[in-house]
Amino acid sequence: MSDEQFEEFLKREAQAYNPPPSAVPHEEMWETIRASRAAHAAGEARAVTGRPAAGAPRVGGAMPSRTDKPTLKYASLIGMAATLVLGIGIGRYALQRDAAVTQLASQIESAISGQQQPSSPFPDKMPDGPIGVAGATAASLVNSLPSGARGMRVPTRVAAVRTGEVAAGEPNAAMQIVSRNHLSRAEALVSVVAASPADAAMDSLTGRWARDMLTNTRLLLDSPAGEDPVRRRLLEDLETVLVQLLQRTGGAVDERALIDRTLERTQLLSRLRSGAAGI
Amino acid sequence: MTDAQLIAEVLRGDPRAERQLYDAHVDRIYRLAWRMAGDETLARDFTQDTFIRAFDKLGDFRGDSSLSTWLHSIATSVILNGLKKVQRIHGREIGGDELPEVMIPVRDAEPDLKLRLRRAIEGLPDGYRTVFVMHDVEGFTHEEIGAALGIQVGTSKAQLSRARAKLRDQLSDFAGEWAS
Repeated sequence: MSDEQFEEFLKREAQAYNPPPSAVPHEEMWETIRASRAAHAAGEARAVTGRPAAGAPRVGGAMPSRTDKPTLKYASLIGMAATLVLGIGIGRYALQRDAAVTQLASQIESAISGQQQPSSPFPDKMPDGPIGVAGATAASLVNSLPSGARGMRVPTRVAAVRTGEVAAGEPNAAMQIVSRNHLSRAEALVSVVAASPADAAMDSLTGRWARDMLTNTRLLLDSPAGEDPVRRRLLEDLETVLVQLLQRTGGAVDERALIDRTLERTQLLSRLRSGAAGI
Repeated sequence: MTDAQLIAEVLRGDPRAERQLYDAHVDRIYRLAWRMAGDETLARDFTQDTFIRAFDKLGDFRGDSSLSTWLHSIATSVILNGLKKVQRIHGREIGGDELPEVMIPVRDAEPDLKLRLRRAIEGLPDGYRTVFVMHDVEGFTHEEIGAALGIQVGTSKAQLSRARAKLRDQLSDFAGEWAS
């Protein structure tokens, strides 16, 4: 039984899962919402003035006011603490985001400058184990490619981009270089995964490699490179496989089978090869 | 009236605008709550709580997403937190040992495929079940699910893929009946 048949069966039969009634109790719910909001508003007014708000409707006491709780006096302290925690969280997120953007920017810069080879898509030291061996093999294969294929240099564009002579639409050329480079690296990673034994667990280095790849994939999806519908579809399928890969627990064979099925259904590897080659 | 105009009217305190906002979105939120909870009282509570919170926080809405997406993000949060509370209470009442029963396939005892499918869906982890119900049952797109749940589109797709795989495993002994 194919995946498609099963998905059709699911979509058909799952309609019977907790079927909601055709009639929605609009009025009853609306009355409750209105009463609750009125009670809340009355509570807030009482907290400020010490007495009920003049115009506030009386609502039978079903909803205890939040302001009656003794924790109110700590509310400002809790609020400040929450703001502080939120601020730290946003700061950390921004730093991580900046780091990812910086990494992508450096890829663009190195591709555009054409003076230095792009950094290897692989960690300096490949991890031990089956995936590590497969990774080293893939690394050597990629490194043996012509520099044009690996670095995706486009000399005629490079000079124009470097000297600022590009027209308004031409930054897309730089994006194409970056995305091809990215797809080439993704192809290497997916090849490593596909070639590894089904029960091989992903080691930390490969995991980091996949996480970096996922970050860059998402950045590309949000960039002009993601505006091309064919490339977007390819990046989205790549993103799905990367997420499946990163969510896999240890060497779980069934989860690996799921990844293999996605690879087969989406024909990801061959599409990555075509995309990396600019076809 | 656009979302922005409607919100402005609600923030000015226009009761008709409040009702208009409610009418425009209540059906879809109620349906989702029903699908997730499978219980009328809970579906009502979750829907009401969603709108109460939404009206409270409407002033914070910045328009980064559509109003519908924003409302559904509140709804999914209310529903999932509410269901967790219910499960905790239910677990205390009946004892935790009984909970895993829904995960065990019993071919002879449960010959009905639909019942088995229902049980298999119930047995999915919360995250998988939410994405599955939203996508395969209620027809949300991955973009809508991602925005509502605060996850990436790829994560939503991966969760759905895993949910389907788990359901397929759970129903493997019915394989011949899927296509019928």
